[in-house]
Amino acid sequence: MKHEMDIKKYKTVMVVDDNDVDNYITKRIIEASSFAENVITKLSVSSALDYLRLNNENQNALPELILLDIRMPKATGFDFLEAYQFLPAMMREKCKIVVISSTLDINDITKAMSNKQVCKFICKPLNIESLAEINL
Amino acid sequence: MKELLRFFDPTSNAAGSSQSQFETIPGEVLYVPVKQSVRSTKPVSGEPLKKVSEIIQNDVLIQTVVDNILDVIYSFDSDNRVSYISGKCEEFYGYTQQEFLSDPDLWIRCIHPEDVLTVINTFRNSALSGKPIRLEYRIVKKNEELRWVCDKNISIYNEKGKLDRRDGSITDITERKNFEETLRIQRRAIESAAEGIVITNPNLPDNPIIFANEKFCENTGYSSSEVLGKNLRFLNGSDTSVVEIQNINNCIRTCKTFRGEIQHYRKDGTPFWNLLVIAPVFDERGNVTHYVSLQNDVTENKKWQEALIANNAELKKINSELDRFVYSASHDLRAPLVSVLGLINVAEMDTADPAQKQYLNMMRKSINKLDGFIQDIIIYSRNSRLDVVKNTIDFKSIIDEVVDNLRFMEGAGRIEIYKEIEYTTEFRSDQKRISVILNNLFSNAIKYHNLNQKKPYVSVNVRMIEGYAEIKLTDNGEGIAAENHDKIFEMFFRASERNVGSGLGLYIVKEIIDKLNGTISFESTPGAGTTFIVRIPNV
Repeated sequence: MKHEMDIKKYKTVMVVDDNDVDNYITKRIIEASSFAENVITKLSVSSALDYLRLNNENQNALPELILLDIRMPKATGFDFLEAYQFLPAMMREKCKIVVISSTLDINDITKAMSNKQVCKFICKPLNIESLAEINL
Repeated sequence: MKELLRFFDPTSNAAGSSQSQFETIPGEVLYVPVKQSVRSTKPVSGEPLKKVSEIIQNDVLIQTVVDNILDVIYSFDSDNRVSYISGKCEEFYGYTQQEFLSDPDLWIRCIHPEDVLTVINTFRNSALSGKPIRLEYRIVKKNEELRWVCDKNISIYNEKGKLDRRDGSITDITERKNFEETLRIQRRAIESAAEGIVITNPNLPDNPIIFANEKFCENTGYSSSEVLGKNLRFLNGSDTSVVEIQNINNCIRTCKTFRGEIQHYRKDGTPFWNLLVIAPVFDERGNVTHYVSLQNDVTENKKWQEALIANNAELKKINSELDRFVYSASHDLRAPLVSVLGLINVAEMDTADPAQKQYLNMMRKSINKLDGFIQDIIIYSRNSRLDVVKNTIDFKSIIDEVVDNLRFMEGAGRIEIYKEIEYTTEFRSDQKRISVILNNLFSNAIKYHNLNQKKPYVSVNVRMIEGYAEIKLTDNGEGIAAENHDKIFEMFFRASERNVGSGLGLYIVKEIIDKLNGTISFESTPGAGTTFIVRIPNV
């Protein structure tokens, strides 16, 4: 791929999104651009948090980057961010969060951007160009 | 005047009826028993009666005294012709003593035409009855000024019982009359006022009502006699607010004005909302002499007010529901579109077939158009509902961001963009709205650039003119046909045959500019280009 050279490589990326079509796309784009070696997809906030807590001790299984959707049934991306700050500092220091959403709600976008754990906001659909902008 | 003089003949019956502003008061001021009066002017020797004029004119002291008296003193003969008139007549009538004496009917001509009949009738009747009279009527002075006078006189008879003369005095009562008139108007105004008016006297036990006008009686159903002497609290009832009663009592205790809405009860027991003002009336020494209370039945207003408040709450609820609906619907509409766009991206990576790549690109265009439409609806809804926010506007960064966001538009790559931003003073307006205006104008300029133009460009110029920011956006694009000039700001109007827009863009721009109290105008020549000029006031 033409952008392959510009893209920062991650070992493990976690995708938290209830939409499995989007998860498939994200996974394919990541693979095609060699953005990450491993992609973990989680369909709910609770399963994502469970995974992180379970692998607290297992450095190799923990993600370096989380791509987080906002609008999800039951717990939302904001609920995830709320719970995330109580996870061990060691884990959080190693990991960046990028919010990825199709929302047009300016309040959602501002709220996400003002969260100090969020490094970037990306509009869906994810493509290779927007992945290249994640350079954290 | 000859006609009128006829009425002075005591035997004549042709007199008119007397009017209410005139009164004959027997025994008033000049009452002198007729016989005594006659005797007083009758010489002891039994000579014939002397004329008053002769007596006065012959005595310098009496003459001086009479002329100094503030009233006009006069004596008329039995034919009511002036035989004597004191010096004050010049001040009262504007005519001299000589003028009255040489023209003995002059005084009658000075009486106001509407009053003259009554005056002469009263004189005639008193000549018959012998009673003194007191009469108020109007005179017209030499300079045509109108004055009110009070005329008091008595008929004097000779020994044979025939009318000898009439002696009297005239007082100027104009000021009193004017004052009475003012009082009468004020009283009538209070009586017929459209507001209930009640006056109470706090110096009497239990601050009783001493006056209540018609409207008060109409509002409450009580008659005036039923409320006089009572304290206003008889209007209170079971649902009257105890707090408001307390407030009224506090105001009265501290001599302050009370204003408030309070539930009162009519005589028939039905409640009504009374918009009540109770204000103290002070005398010159600052003591409260009375309280004036204005009362208005505002039950209907109150109903409307309550309905309005309920309506307003309902509207707010609907508005916030609509707000949530717009965002949720837009998210739910957009999410699948975005998924399809993502799939198109993935599918493009997986195929090398040029035909398939072309189909996928056409699919992307269609979906982008639908997506743009959804975004326009949201922007429109935001503009109409959200209040204007004031920020310091950095046109350079807004324009840079807008241009950056549009860089993937079709054709954007070959269009040159010129920016000229020249202002130094701080400019404040709503940043998001200005960003939407610029975004729409720029994206139109890119969308409708002239495909045949070798060097297509868009130039933007921002400058400050007298409290306005003027944004001038010029392109050398396809232009707008003259017949469409008055339609381009209409909802869903699309001027271009290139079917790429939603027809909402310029409509939204106009709506936003209206919201910011700004203006937008343009000049356009088909095939040559368009210039939009937007003016936004500094806030």
